[in-house]
Amino acid sequence: MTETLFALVSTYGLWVVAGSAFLSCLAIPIPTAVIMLAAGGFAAAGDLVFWQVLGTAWLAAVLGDQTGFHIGRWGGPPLIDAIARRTGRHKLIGRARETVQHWGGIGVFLSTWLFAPLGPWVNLIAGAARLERWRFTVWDVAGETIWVTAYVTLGFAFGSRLEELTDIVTDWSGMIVSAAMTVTLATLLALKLRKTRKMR
Amino acid sequence: MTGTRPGVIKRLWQDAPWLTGAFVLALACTLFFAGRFVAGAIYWADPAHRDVPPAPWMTPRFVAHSWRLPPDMVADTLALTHDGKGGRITLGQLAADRGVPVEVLIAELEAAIALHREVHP
Repeated sequence: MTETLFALVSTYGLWVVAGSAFLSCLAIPIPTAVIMLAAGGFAAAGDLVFWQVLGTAWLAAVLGDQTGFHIGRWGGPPLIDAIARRTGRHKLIGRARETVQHWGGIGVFLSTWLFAPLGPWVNLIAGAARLERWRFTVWDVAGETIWVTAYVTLGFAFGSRLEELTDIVTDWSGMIVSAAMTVTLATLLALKLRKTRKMR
Repeated sequence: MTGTRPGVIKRLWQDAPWLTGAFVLALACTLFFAGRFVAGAIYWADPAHRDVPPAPWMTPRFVAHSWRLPPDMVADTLALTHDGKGGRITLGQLAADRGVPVEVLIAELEAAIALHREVHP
Protein backbone atom coordinates (compact mmCIF):
# COMPACT_ATOMS: atom_id res chain seq x y z
CA MET A 1 0.00 0.00 0.00
CA THR A 2 2.64 2.57 1.04
CA GLU A 3 4.98 1.27 -1.67
CA THR A 4 2.28 1.93 -4.26
CA LEU A 5 1.99 5.49 -2.94
CA PHE A 6 5.76 5.97 -3.16
CA ALA A 7 5.74 4.66 -6.74
CA LEU A 8 2.91 7.06 -7.62
CA VAL A 9 4.91 9.99 -6.26
CA SER A 10 8.09 9.01 -8.09
CA THR A 11 6.19 8.44 -11.35
CA TYR A 12 3.77 11.40 -11.40
CA GLY A 13 5.60 13.80 -9.09
CA LEU A 14 3.94 17.11 -8.32
CA TRP A 15 0.57 16.09 -9.81
CA VAL A 16 0.12 13.45 -7.13
CA VAL A 17 1.14 15.94 -4.43
CA ALA A 18 -1.35 18.53 -5.70
CA GLY A 19 -4.22 16.09 -6.20
CA SER A 20 -3.90 14.38 -2.85
CA ALA A 21 -3.43 17.60 -0.85
CA PHE A 22 -6.51 19.13 -2.50
CA LEU A 23 -8.78 16.10 -2.24
CA SER A 24 -7.84 15.19 1.33
CA CYS A 25 -9.04 18.66 2.40
CA LEU A 26 -12.46 17.61 1.05
CA ALA A 27 -12.73 14.57 3.34
CA ILE A 28 -11.58 12.10 0.71
CA PRO A 29 -9.43 9.67 2.68
CA ILE A 30 -6.04 9.95 1.00
CA PRO A 31 -2.87 9.65 3.11
CA THR A 32 -1.49 13.01 2.04
CA ALA A 33 1.00 13.03 4.91
CA VAL A 34 2.68 9.92 3.47
CA ILE A 35 2.71 11.49 0.00
CA MET A 36 4.33 14.68 1.31
CA LEU A 37 6.98 12.68 3.19
CA ALA A 38 7.74 10.73 0.01
CA ALA A 39 7.87 13.87 -2.13
CA GLY A 40 10.28 15.39 0.40
CA GLY A 41 12.43 12.27 0.20
CA PHE A 42 12.50 12.32 -3.60
CA ALA A 43 13.39 16.02 -3.45
CA ALA A 44 16.39 15.18 -1.27
CA ALA A 45 17.42 12.54 -3.82
CA GLY A 46 17.19 15.10 -6.64
CA ASP A 47 14.15 13.63 -8.37
CA LEU A 48 11.92 16.55 -7.38
CA VAL A 49 12.63 20.15 -6.39
CA PHE A 50 12.10 20.98 -2.73
CA TRP A 51 10.48 24.41 -3.10
CA GLN A 52 8.21 23.15 -5.87
CA VAL A 53 6.95 20.32 -3.66
CA LEU A 54 6.42 22.75 -0.79
CA GLY A 55 4.63 25.34 -2.94
CA THR A 56 2.42 22.80 -4.73
CA ALA A 57 1.30 21.05 -1.54
CA TRP A 58 0.66 24.35 0.22
CA LEU A 59 -1.37 25.88 -2.62
CA ALA A 60 -3.41 22.71 -3.17
CA ALA A 61 -4.18 22.38 0.55
CA VAL A 62 -5.26 26.02 0.88
CA LEU A 63 -7.44 25.74 -2.24
CA GLY A 64 -8.96 22.50 -0.94
CA ASP A 65 -9.82 24.12 2.40
CA GLN A 66 -11.34 27.14 0.66
CA THR A 67 -13.46 24.81 -1.47
CA GLY A 68 -14.74 22.96 1.62
CA PHE A 69 -15.40 26.25 3.41
CA HIS A 70 -17.44 27.60 0.50
CA ILE A 71 -19.41 24.36 0.15
CA GLY A 72 -20.31 24.75 3.83
CA ARG A 73 -21.19 28.41 3.31
CA TRP A 74 -23.41 27.63 0.37
CA GLY A 75 -25.10 24.44 1.56
CA GLY A 76 -24.89 24.81 5.32
CA PRO A 77 -27.33 27.58 6.33
CA PRO A 78 -30.43 26.12 4.58
CA LEU A 79 -29.63 22.73 6.12
CA ILE A 80 -29.17 24.19 9.61
CA ASP A 81 -32.41 26.21 9.27
CA ALA A 82 -34.27 23.07 8.28
CA ILE A 83 -32.88 21.20 11.29
CA ALA A 84 -33.80 24.09 13.57
CA ARG A 85 -37.38 24.17 12.21
CA ARG A 86 -37.85 20.44 12.47
CA THR A 87 -36.33 19.92 15.92
CA GLY A 88 -37.11 23.33 17.38
CA ARG A 89 -33.71 23.49 19.02
CA HIS A 90 -32.99 27.08 18.06
CA LYS A 91 -31.23 27.78 21.32
CA LEU A 92 -28.77 24.91 20.97
CA ILE A 93 -27.97 25.78 17.38
CA GLY A 94 -27.50 29.40 18.35
CA ARG A 95 -25.06 28.33 21.02
CA ALA A 96 -23.14 26.16 18.55
CA ARG A 97 -22.90 29.18 16.22
CA GLU A 98 -21.56 31.32 19.05
CA THR A 99 -18.94 28.67 19.84
CA VAL A 100 -17.78 28.69 16.22
CA GLN A 101 -17.65 32.48 16.22
CA HIS A 102 -15.64 32.48 19.43
CA TRP A 103 -13.29 29.53 18.87
CA GLY A 104 -13.50 29.20 15.09
CA GLY A 105 -10.14 30.76 14.25
CA ILE A 106 -8.05 28.64 16.58
CA GLY A 107 -10.17 25.59 15.74
CA VAL A 108 -9.47 25.97 12.04
CA PHE A 109 -5.78 26.53 12.80
CA LEU A 110 -5.37 23.36 14.87
CA SER A 111 -7.49 21.22 12.55
CA THR A 112 -5.17 21.89 9.62
CA TRP A 113 -2.09 20.36 11.22
CA LEU A 114 -2.33 19.05 14.79
CA PHE A 115 -5.66 17.26 14.35
CA ALA A 116 -5.55 16.95 10.58
CA PRO A 117 -8.24 14.20 10.33
CA LEU A 118 -10.78 16.76 11.57
CA GLY A 119 -9.75 19.36 8.99
CA PRO A 120 -12.34 18.77 6.24
CA TRP A 121 -15.23 18.73 8.72
CA VAL A 122 -14.08 21.87 10.48
CA ASN A 123 -13.94 23.63 7.08
CA LEU A 124 -17.55 22.67 6.33
CA ILE A 125 -18.76 23.65 9.81
CA ALA A 126 -16.88 26.96 9.71
CA GLY A 127 -18.52 27.76 6.38
CA ALA A 128 -21.97 26.68 7.52
CA ALA A 129 -21.75 28.68 10.75
CA ARG A 130 -20.73 31.76 8.76
CA LEU A 131 -17.27 32.26 10.18
CA GLU A 132 -15.89 35.38 8.48
CA ARG A 133 -14.03 34.52 5.31
CA TRP A 134 -10.89 36.52 6.17
CA ARG A 135 -10.65 34.95 9.61
CA PHE A 136 -10.97 31.48 8.15
CA THR A 137 -8.38 32.21 5.49
CA VAL A 138 -5.78 33.74 7.82
CA TRP A 139 -5.90 30.87 10.35
CA ASP A 140 -6.13 28.25 7.63
CA VAL A 141 -3.12 29.55 5.72
CA ALA A 142 -1.09 29.70 8.94
CA GLY A 143 -2.02 26.12 9.82
CA GLU A 144 -1.46 24.66 6.37
CA THR A 145 1.97 26.32 6.26
CA ILE A 146 2.94 24.38 9.39
CA TRP A 147 1.40 21.11 8.11
CA VAL A 148 3.01 21.20 4.69
CA THR A 149 6.40 22.48 5.83
CA ALA A 150 6.64 19.92 8.64
CA TYR A 151 5.95 16.87 6.48
CA VAL A 152 7.89 17.90 3.39
CA THR A 153 10.90 18.93 5.50
CA LEU A 154 10.79 15.69 7.51
CA GLY A 155 10.74 13.76 4.25
CA PHE A 156 13.62 15.82 2.91
CA ALA A 157 15.74 15.33 6.01
CA PHE A 158 15.04 11.67 6.82
CA GLY A 159 13.47 10.34 3.62
CA SER A 160 16.40 8.11 2.71
CA ARG A 161 14.63 5.56 4.93
CA LEU A 162 11.18 6.39 3.68
CA GLU A 163 9.22 3.33 4.80
CA GLU A 164 10.45 3.46 8.39
CA LEU A 165 9.99 7.22 8.52
CA THR A 166 6.39 6.84 7.31
CA ASP A 167 5.65 4.29 10.04
CA ILE A 168 7.13 6.48 12.76
CA VAL A 169 5.30 9.61 11.60
CA THR A 170 1.91 7.88 11.17
CA ASP A 171 2.23 6.29 14.63
CA TRP A 172 3.11 9.68 16.08
CA SER A 173 0.09 11.42 14.57
CA GLY A 174 -2.17 8.49 15.52
CA MET A 175 -0.94 8.91 19.08
CA ILE A 176 -1.61 12.67 19.11
CA VAL A 177 -5.14 12.32 17.73
CA SER A 178 -6.12 9.48 20.07
CA ALA A 179 -4.55 11.26 23.05
CA ALA A 180 -6.64 14.34 22.25
CA MET A 181 -9.76 12.17 22.06
CA THR A 182 -8.86 10.52 25.37
CA VAL A 183 -8.52 13.89 27.08
CA THR A 184 -11.79 15.16 25.57
CA LEU A 185 -13.69 12.03 26.66
CA ALA A 186 -12.13 12.19 30.13
CA THR A 187 -13.33 15.79 30.47
CA LEU A 188 -16.85 14.82 29.37
CA LEU A 189 -16.84 11.92 31.85
CA ALA A 190 -15.68 14.17 34.68
CA LEU A 191 -18.46 16.66 33.89
CA LYS A 192 -21.02 13.85 33.80
CA LEU A 193 -19.77 12.45 37.08
CA ARG A 194 -20.07 15.82 38.76
CA LYS A 195 -23.59 16.25 37.44
CA THR A 196 -24.80 12.86 38.68
CA ARG A 197 -23.12 13.44 42.04
CA LYS A 198 -24.98 16.71 42.44
CA MET A 199 -28.27 15.01 41.61
CA ARG A 200 -27.87 12.45 44.37
CA MET B 1 -7.79 7.11 46.85
CA THR B 2 -7.31 3.51 45.74
CA GLY B 3 -10.34 2.59 47.78
CA THR B 4 -12.67 4.94 45.88
CA ARG B 5 -11.31 4.15 42.40
CA PRO B 6 -13.25 0.93 41.71
CA GLY B 7 -16.40 2.65 42.92
CA VAL B 8 -15.94 5.54 40.51
CA ILE B 9 -15.24 3.27 37.54
CA LYS B 10 -18.24 1.07 38.32
CA ARG B 11 -20.50 4.10 38.56
CA LEU B 12 -19.18 5.48 35.28
CA TRP B 13 -19.98 2.18 33.56
CA GLN B 14 -23.50 2.35 34.95
CA ASP B 15 -24.17 6.02 34.31
CA ALA B 16 -22.47 6.48 30.94
CA PRO B 17 -21.62 3.15 29.32
CA TRP B 18 -21.07 4.60 25.84
CA LEU B 19 -18.90 7.47 26.99
CA THR B 20 -16.86 5.23 29.28
CA GLY B 21 -16.46 2.65 26.52
CA ALA B 22 -15.29 5.32 24.09
CA PHE B 23 -12.85 6.63 26.69
CA VAL B 24 -11.36 3.16 27.27
CA LEU B 25 -11.09 2.61 23.51
CA ALA B 26 -9.39 5.99 22.96
CA LEU B 27 -6.97 5.27 25.80
CA ALA B 28 -6.16 1.87 24.31
CA CYS B 29 -5.53 3.48 20.91
CA THR B 30 -3.21 6.05 22.48
CA LEU B 31 -1.17 3.34 24.20
CA PHE B 32 -1.11 1.24 21.01
CA PHE B 33 0.27 4.10 18.90
CA ALA B 34 2.67 5.19 21.64
CA GLY B 35 4.07 1.66 21.81
CA ARG B 36 4.48 1.44 18.04
CA PHE B 37 6.08 4.88 17.96
CA VAL B 38 8.67 3.95 20.61
CA ALA B 39 9.42 0.63 18.88
CA GLY B 40 9.85 2.47 15.56
CA ALA B 41 12.18 5.02 17.12
CA ILE B 42 14.34 2.29 18.67
CA TYR B 43 14.52 0.45 15.34
CA TRP B 44 15.44 3.70 13.59
CA ALA B 45 18.26 4.46 16.02
CA ASP B 46 19.95 1.09 15.45
CA PRO B 47 22.83 1.62 12.97
CA ALA B 48 22.39 -1.95 11.69
CA HIS B 49 19.16 -0.87 10.00
CA ARG B 50 20.64 2.12 8.23
CA ASP B 51 20.80 0.72 4.71
CA VAL B 52 17.47 0.05 3.05
CA PRO B 53 17.47 -2.65 0.35
CA PRO B 54 16.57 -1.30 -3.12
CA ALA B 55 12.86 -1.76 -3.91
CA PRO B 56 10.85 -1.51 -7.16
CA TRP B 57 9.31 1.84 -6.16
CA MET B 58 12.70 3.53 -5.80
CA THR B 59 14.30 5.65 -8.47
CA PRO B 60 18.02 5.30 -9.28
CA ARG B 61 18.69 8.69 -7.68
CA PHE B 62 16.78 7.64 -4.58
CA VAL B 63 18.93 4.51 -4.23
CA ALA B 64 22.04 6.65 -4.59
CA HIS B 65 20.74 9.09 -1.96
CA SER B 66 19.67 6.33 0.42
CA TRP B 67 23.02 4.49 0.24
CA ARG B 68 25.08 7.70 0.06
CA LEU B 69 26.53 6.76 -3.32
CA PRO B 70 27.47 8.99 -6.28
CA PRO B 71 24.34 9.15 -8.50
CA ASP B 72 26.50 8.46 -11.57
CA MET B 73 27.65 5.16 -10.12
CA VAL B 74 24.03 3.93 -9.84
CA ALA B 75 23.16 5.34 -13.26
CA ASP B 76 26.15 3.60 -14.85
CA THR B 77 25.28 0.30 -13.17
CA LEU B 78 21.78 0.50 -14.60
CA ALA B 79 23.17 1.61 -17.98
CA LEU B 80 21.11 4.80 -17.90
CA THR B 81 21.90 7.51 -20.41
CA HIS B 82 22.72 10.90 -18.96
CA ASP B 83 20.36 12.98 -21.05
CA GLY B 84 20.48 15.85 -18.59
CA LYS B 85 16.69 16.12 -18.53
CA GLY B 86 16.50 14.70 -15.04
CA GLY B 87 13.52 12.48 -15.80
CA ARG B 88 12.30 10.10 -13.13
CA ILE B 89 11.80 6.37 -13.53
CA THR B 90 11.29 3.70 -10.91
CA LEU B 91 13.35 0.51 -10.84
CA GLY B 92 10.12 -1.41 -11.42
CA GLN B 93 9.29 0.61 -14.54
CA LEU B 94 12.86 0.35 -15.80
CA ALA B 95 12.77 -3.45 -15.47
CA ALA B 96 9.38 -3.61 -17.21
CA ASP B 97 10.66 -1.43 -20.09
CA ARG B 98 13.63 -3.74 -20.57
CA GLY B 99 11.64 -6.93 -20.14
CA VAL B 100 13.72 -8.23 -17.24
CA PRO B 101 12.40 -9.25 -13.81
CA VAL B 102 12.88 -6.42 -11.32
CA GLU B 103 14.59 -8.87 -8.92
CA VAL B 104 17.38 -9.34 -11.46
CA LEU B 105 17.83 -5.59 -11.80
CA ILE B 106 17.94 -5.18 -8.02
CA ALA B 107 20.40 -8.06 -7.62
CA GLU B 108 22.74 -6.44 -10.15
CA LEU B 109 22.46 -3.14 -8.34
CA GLU B 110 23.16 -4.72 -4.95
CA ALA B 111 26.23 -6.50 -6.34
CA ALA B 112 27.54 -3.21 -7.77
CA ILE B 113 26.90 -1.42 -4.47
CA ALA B 114 28.75 -4.12 -2.52
CA LEU B 115 31.69 -3.80 -4.92
CA HIS B 116 31.65 0.00 -4.65
CA ARG B 117 31.63 -0.20 -0.85
CA GLU B 118 34.63 -2.49 -0.92
CA VAL B 119 36.62 -0.08 -3.09
CA HIS B 120 35.43 3.05 -1.22
CA PRO B 121 34.95 2.01 2.38
